[in-house]
Amino acid sequence: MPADIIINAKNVVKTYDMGAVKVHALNGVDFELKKGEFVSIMGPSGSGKTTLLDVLSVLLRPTSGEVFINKKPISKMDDNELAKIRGKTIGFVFQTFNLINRLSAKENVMMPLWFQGVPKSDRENRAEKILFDVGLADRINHKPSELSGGQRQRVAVARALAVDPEIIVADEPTGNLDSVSGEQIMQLIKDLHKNGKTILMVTHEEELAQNAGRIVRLRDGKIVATDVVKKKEINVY
Amino acid sequence: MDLELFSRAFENLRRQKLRSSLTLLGIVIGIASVVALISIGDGFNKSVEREFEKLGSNTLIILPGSGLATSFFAELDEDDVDTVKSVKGVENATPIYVSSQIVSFKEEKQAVLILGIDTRDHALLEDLGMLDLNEGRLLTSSDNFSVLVGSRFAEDVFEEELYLKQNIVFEGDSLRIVGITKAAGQSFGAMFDNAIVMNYKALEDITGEDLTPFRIFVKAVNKEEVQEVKDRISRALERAHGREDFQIMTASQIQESALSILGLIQLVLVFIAAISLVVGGIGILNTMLMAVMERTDEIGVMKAIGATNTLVLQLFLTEAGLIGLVGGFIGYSLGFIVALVGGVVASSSGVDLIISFEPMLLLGSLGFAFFVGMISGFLPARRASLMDPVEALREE
Ligand SMILES: Nc1ncnc2c1ncn2[C@@H]1O[C@H](COP(=O)(O)OP(=O)(O)O)[C@@H](O)[C@H]1O
Ligand SMILES: [Mg+2]
Repeated sequence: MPADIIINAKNVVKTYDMGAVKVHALNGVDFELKKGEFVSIMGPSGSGKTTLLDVLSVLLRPTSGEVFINKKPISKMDDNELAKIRGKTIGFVFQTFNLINRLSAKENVMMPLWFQGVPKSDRENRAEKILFDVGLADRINHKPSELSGGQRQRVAVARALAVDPEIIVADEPTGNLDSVSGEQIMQLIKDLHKNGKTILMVTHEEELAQNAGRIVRLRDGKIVATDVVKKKEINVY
Repeated sequence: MDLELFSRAFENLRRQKLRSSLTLLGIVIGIASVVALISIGDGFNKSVEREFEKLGSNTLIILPGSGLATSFFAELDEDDVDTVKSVKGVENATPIYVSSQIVSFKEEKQAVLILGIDTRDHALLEDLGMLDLNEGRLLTSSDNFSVLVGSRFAEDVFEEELYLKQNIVFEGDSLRIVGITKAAGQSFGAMFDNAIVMNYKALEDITGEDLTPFRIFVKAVNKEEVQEVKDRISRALERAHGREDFQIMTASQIQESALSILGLIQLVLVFIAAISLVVGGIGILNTMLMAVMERTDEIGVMKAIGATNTLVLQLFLTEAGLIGLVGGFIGYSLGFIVALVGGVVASSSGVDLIISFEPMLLLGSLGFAFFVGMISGFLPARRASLMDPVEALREE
């Protein structure tokens, strides 16, 4: 019985037109992401990992080719519809956290809920609960500048989880962290997967990539290999 | 309306208070001018209306001189009063004489205005709201050394306040105060407020001057006929003088000329308001452009995590509107204070301005200021809403 395909990319090309030169960031990529999967995207710097992730998470429109979200082609949708899809089905974790510095941890986590039209008191309750879950119960009202890198990334994970999205998309989530914090964040992501979230993660560390069920290897904007990771660990289910 | 949008926008503004507050200046001045303009205009209209309620719309005023050249030489005379009285449709007419004189009270000397009236026409003068007794009695034709003083005159002119039955010395004669009139607070009444009033014959006797009427006040039988009465008086006087060296004003004419002066002031204020609002609008535009640039990464994040273009547009429009709103509120307060001060100044110079709080004006100013803010913020807000999230996030 085939699992549901949430994201499907067909022959995706992304070209950045820099005037004199054209940068071919993606050169015809086909990709499927199934519900409940954990996929890592690996490749050297500049190979197009971030671009692919952005296209798959409908943050970026491809130059050609098509991306389907839950079977619906995104080329038919306007920017507002894409924003709604992102807000509802995708939780973003960025390498540089991308928290809003003027706002407290709680306010940052509440923000995507505002976009979903959740009433204020519900937003507060939910934000507090998730911050508690990621181990930041005592940092709820702190500003990002008052938090360590690891704590900031945990706020970002909490924000990604706020709307309870199907997919968590993470672009080198541990890239800016020390190894201890990095491991904690990685553990958090693994736990999310165990609890049923679909995970799409970019990394350039082989060891981290091995946490996924599948590793997609990129080079010069093309998928050059797809490895299925053999489970050494005991599966919970 | 999304309340969250407002609280979010308000929060965002609070964090850049200095720049916003400088931006406010244009809007503040613009709205303040508009509010002052409307309040003063309103107050003026009300007081003109009130004045004519007293004077009555069937009142005509005849003054000497028809233009700049003749006004210095032209004179009305006593016979003119009789001529006017005999015109068809005229109920009554009375002359007012004016003389500027030095009088003394105790050791103090002051230059004052003495008004001469025809005591036979008390009823008409009272009717016109010029002789409203506060205390004492009115004059009779035999009162040669008895006078009335205005209440303002009694209080202000000499060091010591004047009371009934005291004497003022004028050209060696003692003038006894037999009555004090009430404050009238409108133009002609105000003239009486600040003067000594006496029998014009007695005034001529004491000064030895041959006075001519400064004004002749005429009351028409009915107000529908004022224009016809005016034409008839004009013809009668022209026949008597051999030329048109006089002017006849009607209540509606006076109102018009008062309003035309006001119109000029209003024009200037409208000009100031328009310029300030444009400057204020540009200020808001600039502030919002800077805010959008500074918050590029924030806009990128918001859009990445699900904010639609529409929401981003609304958020920045609301912020711009709020800047306008705050400016509008300060501007309203300032404008109202200016109007109040203007009212006090005007009153002290005899023009009554009735400045009152109008809730609609407050609401209107706030709404208008919010609107100006939104218009000015439209381009920056549009720019923010159309930002590509990936590009926005890339910028550091
Ligand atoms: N906005 C952009 N404008 C121009 N070139 C870009 C842009 N974004 C990415 N690129 C280029 O596209 C290629 C792929 O970039 P990226 O997807 O960020 O790679 P990775 O994440 O694997 O390092 C690189 O050569 C990069 O310079
Ligand atoms: Mg990258």
